[in-house]
Amino acid sequence: MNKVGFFKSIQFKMVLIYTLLILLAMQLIGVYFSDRVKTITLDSFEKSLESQSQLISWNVGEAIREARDTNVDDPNHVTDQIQNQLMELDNNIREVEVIDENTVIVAADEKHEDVVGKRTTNRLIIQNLSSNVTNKYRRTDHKSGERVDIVTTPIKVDNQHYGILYVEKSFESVYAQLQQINQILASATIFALLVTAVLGFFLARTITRPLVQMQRQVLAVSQGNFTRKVQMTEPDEIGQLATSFNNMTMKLREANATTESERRKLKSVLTYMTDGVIATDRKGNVILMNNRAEQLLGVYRHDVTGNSILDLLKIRKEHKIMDLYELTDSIVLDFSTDDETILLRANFSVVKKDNGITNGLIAVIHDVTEQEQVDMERREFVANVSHELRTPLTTMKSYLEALQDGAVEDAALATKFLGVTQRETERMIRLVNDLLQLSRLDSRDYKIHLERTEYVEFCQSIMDRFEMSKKQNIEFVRYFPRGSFYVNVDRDKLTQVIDNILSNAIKYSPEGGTITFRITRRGRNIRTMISDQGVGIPKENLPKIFNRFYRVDRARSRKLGGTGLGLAIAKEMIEAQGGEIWAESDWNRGTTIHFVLPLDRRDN
Amino acid sequence: MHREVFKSILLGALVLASVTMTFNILFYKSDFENYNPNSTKRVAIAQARNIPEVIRPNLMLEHNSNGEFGQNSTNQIQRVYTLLRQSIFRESTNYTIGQGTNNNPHYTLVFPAPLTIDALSKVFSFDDNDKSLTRSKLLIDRVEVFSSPNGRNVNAVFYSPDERSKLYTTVDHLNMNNLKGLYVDTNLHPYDRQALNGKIVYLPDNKTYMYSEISYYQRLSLEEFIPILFTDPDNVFPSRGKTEYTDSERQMERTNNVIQFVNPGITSSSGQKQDPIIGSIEWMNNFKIWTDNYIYQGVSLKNSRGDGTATFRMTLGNYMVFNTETYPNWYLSLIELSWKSGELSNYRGTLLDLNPVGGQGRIALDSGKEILDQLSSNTNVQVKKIEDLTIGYELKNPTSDSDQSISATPDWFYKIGGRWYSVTSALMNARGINSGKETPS
Repeated sequence: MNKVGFFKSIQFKMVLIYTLLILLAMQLIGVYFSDRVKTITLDSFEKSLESQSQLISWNVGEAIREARDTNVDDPNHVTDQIQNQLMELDNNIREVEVIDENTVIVAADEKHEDVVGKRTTNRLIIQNLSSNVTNKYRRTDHKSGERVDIVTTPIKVDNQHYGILYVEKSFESVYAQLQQINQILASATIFALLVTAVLGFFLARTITRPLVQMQRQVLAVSQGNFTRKVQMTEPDEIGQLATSFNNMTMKLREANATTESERRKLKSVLTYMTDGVIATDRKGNVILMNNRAEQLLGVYRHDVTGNSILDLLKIRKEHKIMDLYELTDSIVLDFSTDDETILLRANFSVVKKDNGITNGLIAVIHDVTEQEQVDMERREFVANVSHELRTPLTTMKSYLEALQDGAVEDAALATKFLGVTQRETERMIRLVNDLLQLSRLDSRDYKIHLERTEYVEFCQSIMDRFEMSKKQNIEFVRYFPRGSFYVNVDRDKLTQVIDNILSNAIKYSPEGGTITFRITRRGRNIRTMISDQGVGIPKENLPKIFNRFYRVDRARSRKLGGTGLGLAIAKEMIEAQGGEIWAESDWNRGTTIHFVLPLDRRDN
Repeated sequence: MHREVFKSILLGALVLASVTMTFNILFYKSDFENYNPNSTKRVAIAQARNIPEVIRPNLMLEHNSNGEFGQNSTNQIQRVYTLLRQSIFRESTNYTIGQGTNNNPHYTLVFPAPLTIDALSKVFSFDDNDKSLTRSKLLIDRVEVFSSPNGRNVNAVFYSPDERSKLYTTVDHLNMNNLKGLYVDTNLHPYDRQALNGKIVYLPDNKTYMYSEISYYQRLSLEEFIPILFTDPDNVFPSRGKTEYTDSERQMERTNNVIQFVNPGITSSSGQKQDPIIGSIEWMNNFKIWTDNYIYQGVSLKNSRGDGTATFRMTLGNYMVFNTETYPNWYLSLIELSWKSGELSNYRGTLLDLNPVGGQGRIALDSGKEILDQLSSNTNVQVKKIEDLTIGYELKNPTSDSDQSISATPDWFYKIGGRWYSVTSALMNARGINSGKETPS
């Protein structure tokens, strides 16, 4: 967390607020104070001038009265007496004039003596000439720009109106004083602001210091350090905040521990669960996937994080993200390759926020390859059984219908037809017996009676039996090792296996062909190889020949009376006796069935 | 120290500082030089006068079947005046009081100038319950007392100067025999009733013999009036060679021996209502400005709020003193006070404090009728315009500072347009050196 700059800090803001408030207050005070001082000063100035003017007016009136009483016939004497009254006046008075009722200027101050005897055109004088009260005006001299106060006072001589006294005095001295007062006020304001700023700076620290501590605490908490505590200095609001913050930190620590524990649990579950889990954001982009999902999908999470789940699951053509939000059923994904069949089942659930808004998807992926294969095999098995059973039944039905239709009258034909029916019946019995045997093998509902058997001798006896009962022109070639090799086997079941393999070899061997029976020792095992010179099995079909009802050439096999279960039973029996069986074949060159059995290493 | 305690102390100090500074701002006082707040200035110039000493009649008359007889002796008049002042006057609506043609004599006291009812109430006792009297706007300058035709009651009629407006009263607590006795003891002279412009006057029907009065005088200093006329004497500055003093609002000046004060800046109209006559006397008494004997000599009312002018004239012996020189020398024997909104707006008066030493040179003055005839026939004076006519002393403005004596010369004086003129001067102007005065005998 970056340190807060001074100009962005609360301390600075508080100082700023203090000073702005003081400035505002001082401005309000200043405006009111200046206005009042200005009003009072100007009014006082004007009142003073009014009094002065009234005194001059009275003096002028008295002078005229005295002059008239003394020298009635001498108008110059009157003027002189008036003029005397206008001498020695205040220096700040700009102009004083005495105007009689004829608007003639009777007397004026020393500076304006030249206007004496002239008729005035001053509008203020003319309009107030007959006034009996003192009038005041505030004007600006349009030439000099000087602000002046003008007072016109009626002059009365023995209670008779004589004229008016015009007095003009400059306001500039007053405004100079007001300016000085304003400057003092401004200086006081600046001083007050400085003092306020300094005091505010230190006072604000008392508030911001706990906040800084809390900021550090927040920083520590964000870094996972829950051990620090804010020191509560005072029981005020900030102190209570500090207490609450400490409580919150403690609860946060507990919650964090709980969350961490839960997170570990969840991580463990996700890591070790057999299903793959993929989490996406609201747009369907992958944000999380567990190891199992990586394994199932064959990707690395770093490579696909951020990619769309549609691409990851390869369902973009079939679905859109919105479809997944509304999907209630699971979907099966085919991730099979040329070498491997992989079928996955994906279930989607929607993640929602507290307010109900969709926040993402959780996809749970389950490997259903085996289950699907089992299902497929079961379906195939049922179909095969049904097919294998229906074929002889259909044949038998056909012959029996033929007999019913009259063939029974023909003895030869009837015998032939009954023979076929009998063979088909026998084949069905074999088929059912094989199925029962396989069923017992599958359910382990059988008993193996292992017997210590000298294996070569055992095989010699089987080969001898086949040599004697063979009907085709087939040569049996034996490659048996010398010596005795003992194995623990169920002789009946092993006999059944070898019979089955040899029967197949005989069936598929061409006329004059050779069936090779080879026994070799391989370490602790003994290996048996039975080869024919038949058409062989295509390489791609080799792994399937041990499947139930699997036939490379179904028509030929059925014609030869096979049930399609022989190798499957053989495989089950070999493996039940601890051995292993497999096949090798070259097309048109024959097939070799190998199986190995563990030797009994006890003393011979 | 705990942080909280420190903060509390700091904030408390700031609050105290704030309160102190606010107190200083509100009650700021400059650190000026110490002064004595109990310093006083003497404002008593001479002495105070009782109202009846100033508002007093200057003529007592008796009307009987033989005519008008009178006396202007101050002592005699004061005795009658005192007797009447002890009586109680009750207004009566019986207008037949004054119309009696009985042979009972009527006794009259005449004041030199008309009085307001308020002023009259100060010298006579009126029934307190009679509120209508105080509302009367009559101006009274004479009171006539007589017995009712049946002799049981004493009645009095107050007259305006022209005797047209009358206030009828009955008089209690007055023994008519005592009043008669006072008149019997007085040497009464025949008087002649003359109707002037707006005033009925009673003038001596015979020659009047008087002496010129010689008096030493003392000129009052103008500065003595500063603490009286200015509210802030320390803020009064002299000008024009200390003949003028002003505090920028008020002005006081001396012209010859006359003081003139003006306060033109009175604008407030909320002043306390007061009668200008009584107000003037009380103001003069407050400052003890009565240097000599003065008599109430007139009032000019401007409005009902008490704005107006009251004048008091100097008296020597039984007569008033006049100055008929140019303005403002009239005020050599006159004190004039103008009131506006309860404040003194003008004061004009003498600066002379007379100290009479005796009379010399007996002078005989013609009868009043003769004077009127002379003025009518020998001068341009329009007799019909004469508002008042009386005998008095002419006091000239002393021009020499070396001579501290002054002479008051007996003369007839007439009043036109509110201004008094010397009959002698009028006759001299008209006829050279002739005058209404006879040579001293």
